[in-house]
Amino acid sequence: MNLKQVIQSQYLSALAMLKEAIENCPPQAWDDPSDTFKFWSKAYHTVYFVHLYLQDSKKDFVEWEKHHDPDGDIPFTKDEVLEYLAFSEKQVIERIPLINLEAESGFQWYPVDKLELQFINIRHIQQHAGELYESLGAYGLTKLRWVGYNKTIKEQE
Amino acid sequence: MNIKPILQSQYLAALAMLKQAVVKCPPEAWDNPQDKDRFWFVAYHTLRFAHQYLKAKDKGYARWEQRRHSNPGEPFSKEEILEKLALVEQDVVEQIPLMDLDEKTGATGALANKLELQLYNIRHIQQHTGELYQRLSAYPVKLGWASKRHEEKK
Repeated sequence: MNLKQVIQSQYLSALAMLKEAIENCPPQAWDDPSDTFKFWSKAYHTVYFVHLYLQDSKKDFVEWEKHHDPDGDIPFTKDEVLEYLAFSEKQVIERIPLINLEAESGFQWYPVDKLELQFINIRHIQQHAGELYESLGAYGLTKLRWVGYNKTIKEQE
Repeated sequence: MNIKPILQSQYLAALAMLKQAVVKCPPEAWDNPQDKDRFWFVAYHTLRFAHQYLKAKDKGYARWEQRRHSNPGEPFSKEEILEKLALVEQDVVEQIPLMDLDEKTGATGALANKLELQLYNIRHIQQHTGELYQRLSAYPVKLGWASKRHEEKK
């Protein structure tokens, strides 16, 4: 497996865990007014940055067709966030082969190369997946799965 | 391209966030019987595997003492966990340069090679750090995101 396949495998594993959290989120936790950073908003925020940092630069970024201000009063539904997550999985498959990993990040607030930006992005998914897993523990959901690698990418070896 | 300094940077950023969580954990949250997995145990578990998977060779080294979170009265102290965290930081600095990233690994079964194991390990640190950050959101502590080595945003 080459470097780009490893990156894809680990991106998709992190996204699979985010998906696990979203799918298991009970209705009352999705838009809980007592949460400072609501479940749906955190999930959407995570996918948004996956999508953004897979582009060459901010100016090349075209927002998802159903995007609206996540700070507004209208929450995204679970189906919408899952749809965006599926879109971002496709982005991982399509964009990683095209990225020059040695180029500058393309985002001036991240003075790193594209390779490190992808690692940061994967860590960012995992950080929020961890937060969402923990928050679901309050609803008795303590057996959400760990995903180590992506089988489809592995089978391409 | 030289991947190793980037791996080191991302390991150290993830560990810096775990360290923030450990340092800022209030005493009452460290060994709280209401937690299924207690704070100290999650931190210990994370570091134990980080240490294990950071070895340049899969075999031939001593594993850390195991402590079970189900044994009350036996938690590692915060100082002990911070000592272990410093050892893992040292592993990052010392072991990554020795590692053949293309080498197969038997560490977790189906991973492609040592490179994938390192990304898996960084994700594992970050997953549990996220859990601990969320747990600490019940307390008045401020925690930051670290993008890369020695860089933290408050």
